[in-house]
Amino acid sequence: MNRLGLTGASGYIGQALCRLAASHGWQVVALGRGAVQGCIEWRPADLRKVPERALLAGLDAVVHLAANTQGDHMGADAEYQFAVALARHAQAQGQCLVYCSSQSADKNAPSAYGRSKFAIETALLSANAIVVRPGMVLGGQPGGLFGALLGLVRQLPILPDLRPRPMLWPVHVDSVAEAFLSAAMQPELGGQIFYAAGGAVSFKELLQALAWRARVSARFAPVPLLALRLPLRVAGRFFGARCSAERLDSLARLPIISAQAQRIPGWSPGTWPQAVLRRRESNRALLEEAAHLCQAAIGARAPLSLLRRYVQHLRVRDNAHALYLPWQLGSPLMLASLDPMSPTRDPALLELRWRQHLMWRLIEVEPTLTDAFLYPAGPPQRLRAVRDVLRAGWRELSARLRRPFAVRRFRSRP
Amino acid sequence: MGTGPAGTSAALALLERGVRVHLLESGAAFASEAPQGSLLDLRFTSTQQWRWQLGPAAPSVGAGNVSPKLRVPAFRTLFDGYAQLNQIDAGAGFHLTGAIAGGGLSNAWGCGVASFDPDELGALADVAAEMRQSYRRVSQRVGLSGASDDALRDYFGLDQHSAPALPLDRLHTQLWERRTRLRAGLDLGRARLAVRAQASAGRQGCNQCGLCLWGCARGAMWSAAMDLAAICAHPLATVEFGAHVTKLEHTGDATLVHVQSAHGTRIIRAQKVLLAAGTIASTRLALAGMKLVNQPIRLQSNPMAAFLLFLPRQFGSTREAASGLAQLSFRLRLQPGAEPCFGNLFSTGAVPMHEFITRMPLSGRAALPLLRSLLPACIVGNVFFAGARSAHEISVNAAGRAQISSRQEPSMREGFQQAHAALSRQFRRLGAWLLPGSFVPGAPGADLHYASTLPIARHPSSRECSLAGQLQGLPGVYLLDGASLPRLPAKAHTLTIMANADRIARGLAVDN
Repeated sequence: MNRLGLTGASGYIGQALCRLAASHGWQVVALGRGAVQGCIEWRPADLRKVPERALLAGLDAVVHLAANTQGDHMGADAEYQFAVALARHAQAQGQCLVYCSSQSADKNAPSAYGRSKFAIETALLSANAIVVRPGMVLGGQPGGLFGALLGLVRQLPILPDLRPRPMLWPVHVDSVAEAFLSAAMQPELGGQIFYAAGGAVSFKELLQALAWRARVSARFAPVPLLALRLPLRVAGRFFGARCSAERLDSLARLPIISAQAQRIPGWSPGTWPQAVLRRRESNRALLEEAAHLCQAAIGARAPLSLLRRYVQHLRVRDNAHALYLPWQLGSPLMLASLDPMSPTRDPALLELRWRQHLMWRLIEVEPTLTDAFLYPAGPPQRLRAVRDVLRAGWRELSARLRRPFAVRRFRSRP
Repeated sequence: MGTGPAGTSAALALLERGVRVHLLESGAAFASEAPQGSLLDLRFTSTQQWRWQLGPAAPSVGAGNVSPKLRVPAFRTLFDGYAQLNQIDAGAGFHLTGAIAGGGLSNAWGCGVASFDPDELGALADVAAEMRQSYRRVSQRVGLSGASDDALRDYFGLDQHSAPALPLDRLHTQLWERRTRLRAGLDLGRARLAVRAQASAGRQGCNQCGLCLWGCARGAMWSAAMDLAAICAHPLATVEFGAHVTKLEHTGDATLVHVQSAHGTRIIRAQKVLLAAGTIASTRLALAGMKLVNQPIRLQSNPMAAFLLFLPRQFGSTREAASGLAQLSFRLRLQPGAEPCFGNLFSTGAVPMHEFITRMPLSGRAALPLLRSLLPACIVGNVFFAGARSAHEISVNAAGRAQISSRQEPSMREGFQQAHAALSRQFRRLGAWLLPGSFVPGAPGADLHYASTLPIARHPSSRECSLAGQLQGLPGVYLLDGASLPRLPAKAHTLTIMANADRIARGLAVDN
């Protein structure tokens, strides 16, 4: 059985990787300051001290997740020395080393963290380590930056819509763990940098998704980034790196991860917004989707039986993931504005149309909604019919006016 | 082989003459799950509509240009797996549908009936007298309605065997009462249907409940499954369900029928084999049996289009209970001397509204109120062209798989345009407006009228059948279904197939 050494095993990503590796038959050895549940063994290690060669004895691969998050100069130096020694030992013993870097790693990164990561990367690449730069890691049990943002969303009545809107590349923590484990099993990838990140989303969209997860309403107020910089600089003098403007700068100037960026072979980040939500599809998301589709179709609330039937029919198909329409497209009126007939090969649009057709069929067989389809029995009423024609004309005109915005929003989804 | 209209007609004719019959059917006995009640009542009250309109599995949604009947969940067992089971590969341009269940496609048909005149019978005109007798027998067994002293009386040629027509709804009544305003080129008549108007022989009469699309719980609409039930009970008949014929092989003195079933594969040695598996399946077996590999032969179907008529005088009215089957039919002559087109008119009430919503170039929210106001004043129509206007081919490859290719016959585009213009002009005289954009040609093959691949001929070649129905290239094998029809005019052909099968079977019984 393979043995995997893991620094930072008690951390946000570490715990996920520990669980994943164990489920894949690895024996995980924690290399840190204390024993960690789920690891078969603990070997003392400290970022402030250069590790001995014996630390890696008997291991088949090592994943180095531990990092100095204090941002102080002394800690960064020690972290560098630790990582270099670890890589040297691993190379000497023929072990695969996977290093968790950062998307912000850059020689000229605005944050000390980013600069430190870049320096370590450079040293480890020359020792044939595999460097993985995760995007913004979210999801799972709240922890790290994800936990902090979730707390922010819960506490603040109004959330900041930062302008210009920073873009982020979220990825689920379980996906990141999969990337690291996959890399650990491919030592031939040594000496290269890979990205573990999904597509780009704006900071506002991220907060909307977090609000959905936290089941709170998201209200936004535009906040220029510049307006925050000075207060944070002042606060940083008193409260240290936690409140410094450095993090804000780092957020605003995150390097772009292009769609062509190198990823671990055989690994996929999954789709937004699964990055922030539970990996296992919940009925709740599908029920919300059904309600949204019904609202878009007839402007009325659907009975719960209809929503459940929608979910039931989707579950029978292979493709039952939720579309998260409320923030893919905003209000139901935007969904209703999409052109139903324009030819397309976009699989997402085709899937959306299929679901709209399904919803039409479900609505039509719902007796409480039959009034939307049929006039009640009685004498002819031309005025009523004329009113319906005018209503149809008005709705179509509105839909066509909204259409360009709806199309743009749909196309700009991550 | 086969228990559709052709197979059951032949079986009954043989049984009547005391001949033992062994019927093989690929599918299972078809159990109708038709809803009961009135469509309008159920729409407002029934919480179970989703069961028979959608079914529990993910329905086949999407706005393909095919009949809504193909999306009825109760018919899923009828159609699913047909192409795989019968080893048929339809090209992208051909919409293939077939049935694998007792009763065949007649479990889900529109009940339209007609007889062929001598010109339409082609080589069968030589046995016109026998055909007339068979038409009579089959018509009396099925139970027809629609008899009317109108312009299509001779065109249908069945009124002597038919009960009077079913009542018309308000919209069709308007057209009917104004029919004298039509000019030459369009003849309007009552639809002739295989539907009992009055209760008889254990079947109830049609009560215009409007549930026709989903089957008929009253038994008013005829299906071969009714005759199959009688055959199963006959002492001289054995019916084997789930028995799929995979190959026919001719030896010197007999035909070997390879049958696959749940019990395994076996071979039946038969002196006479009656093929009634449906045109395409029968053709595949025949071509493979004759070892005609990669040699395409012509396959006919009826190019068709659908359209929507709006009657302004009825604007603002509400729905009324009406039959979902054709109420009026028409014959359309586009050019002198050319084969006429044939069409039917239906109430829109029996067609689910989502079929219209998903075809309109409007957002759904706009389409819904528009259709709610318009559809009660609208009539759906279809129009069929003669099979000679189609351009399909079927062949069998070395592995025994049938391949169907289709292309648009060059003159069909013009044909559709002419039909569109002519119908628009003529119906306007009756106060009905053909809505712009509503004239939509169907996908090739979507008419489900497949025929004339190995036709009966007076002097048959190896790829044709004799007047007795025997396939010249495969002695001992008789083609009873649409494959042996000499011609495919635009009118309904099922009754002619049944009559021909009856005639062939009686001839065989005499020989026996």
